[in-house]
Amino acid sequence: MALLMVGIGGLEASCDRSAVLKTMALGSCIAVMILDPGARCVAMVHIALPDSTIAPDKARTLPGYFADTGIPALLTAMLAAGAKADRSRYIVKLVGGANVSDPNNTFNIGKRNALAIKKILWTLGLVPKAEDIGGRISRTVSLEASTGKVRVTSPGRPEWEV
Amino acid sequence: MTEARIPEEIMAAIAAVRPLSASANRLMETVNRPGHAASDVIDIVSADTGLTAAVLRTVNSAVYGLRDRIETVNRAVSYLGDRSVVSLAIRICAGDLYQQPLAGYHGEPGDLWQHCLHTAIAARAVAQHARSPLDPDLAYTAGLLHDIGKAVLNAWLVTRSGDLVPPIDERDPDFLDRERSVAGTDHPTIGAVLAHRWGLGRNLCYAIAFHHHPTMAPQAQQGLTYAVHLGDFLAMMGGHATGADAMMYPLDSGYDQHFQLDPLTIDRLMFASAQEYQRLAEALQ
Repeated sequence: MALLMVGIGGLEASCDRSAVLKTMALGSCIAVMILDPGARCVAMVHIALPDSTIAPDKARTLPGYFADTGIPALLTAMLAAGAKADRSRYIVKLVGGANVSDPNNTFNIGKRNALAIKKILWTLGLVPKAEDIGGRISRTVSLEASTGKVRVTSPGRPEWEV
Repeated sequence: MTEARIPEEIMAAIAAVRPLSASANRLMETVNRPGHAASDVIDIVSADTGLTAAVLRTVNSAVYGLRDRIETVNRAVSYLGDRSVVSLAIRICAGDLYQQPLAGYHGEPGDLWQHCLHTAIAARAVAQHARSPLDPDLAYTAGLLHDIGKAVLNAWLVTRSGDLVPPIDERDPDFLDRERSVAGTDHPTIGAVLAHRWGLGRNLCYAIAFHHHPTMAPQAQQGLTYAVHLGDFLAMMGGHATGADAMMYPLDSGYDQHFQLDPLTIDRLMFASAQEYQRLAEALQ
């Protein structure tokens, strides 16, 4: 097994069948995972915030930090790793985006992350096939290239699949 | 403060906690005093050999990438800044509390320190957006100490082979109810009593006691308590929670009366706090 850890704002893409991509402690951040079943490639990005305009320098060095730069960078990394260009076969899954209930709509970063990510995916012709978004828990997620399975853990809970 | 509400067994656990070092106490008092001189901090550090060694080790660590070693406390304190020095002092004298495995919360060793450090940084950042004057450095110290009650509660749970899960219903509005049902008290109450015993001032004691319900804090401490309340959420959202409780506390929307915040500002605070956390956590290792 080749374990590739994805930090906050990091991204990884691999067409190695033994690859397992993993990211930890998703609070309001969201892991966007893309599978290309044809080429047997997997990719993951750990997005922290919706919009890179707040820190353009950071977006250049770590594009995965923001939804608007992270998803295009993830697709580029997938192609570089050997994925096929035909996105119609891609499978997209989303995990994370814990959200606090705030009547002022100021602290709802998880919700804003999810909206930004879905909007960008949509403009790229991609729609999530599955998602485990929201709630008030912390999540750790892994994606296995060999099976395509997305496994989620959270402190004090049994593992589940998305 | 509220010792009458705490079961005897937990009061015994609080009494068993070592006092903070004199240096840590004096440092907190000093840096939270507006207009204090840099030499005040240097004098305190110089008088404590353990803290001196830690300050010099930190400033000369790879994180700061200095070309020439710093050999004097004077230069080291000036370079690191008050916040790093206070963090080091607290970590040295209460490290066993912060680093313990949080089995009772299904957390990992080090989770509590990481969460408190992130909260401190975020609370300080929030304080800079206060509608009325609020000392950001006091918010930082309060953030560093706000969850210290979890360490005591966790240690008590572990001795009874107990934990705070399961069952947790994610729809539960407030994880403190879960703590109260298991332990007869909650971590903010325990933390406030410990802070009182440590001789910390009323500002810090109230901020610790009411950081999940800041409207219950006295008017004079509400701004500070809200800063910690919001910093706590920013740390949890940023991936530094302490286990199964995660974000299962209510957000008090009354923060609007104390701080000028909008979604864009929150994104900026999240970003800046995460960057500073990464740098400081690495330096303090």
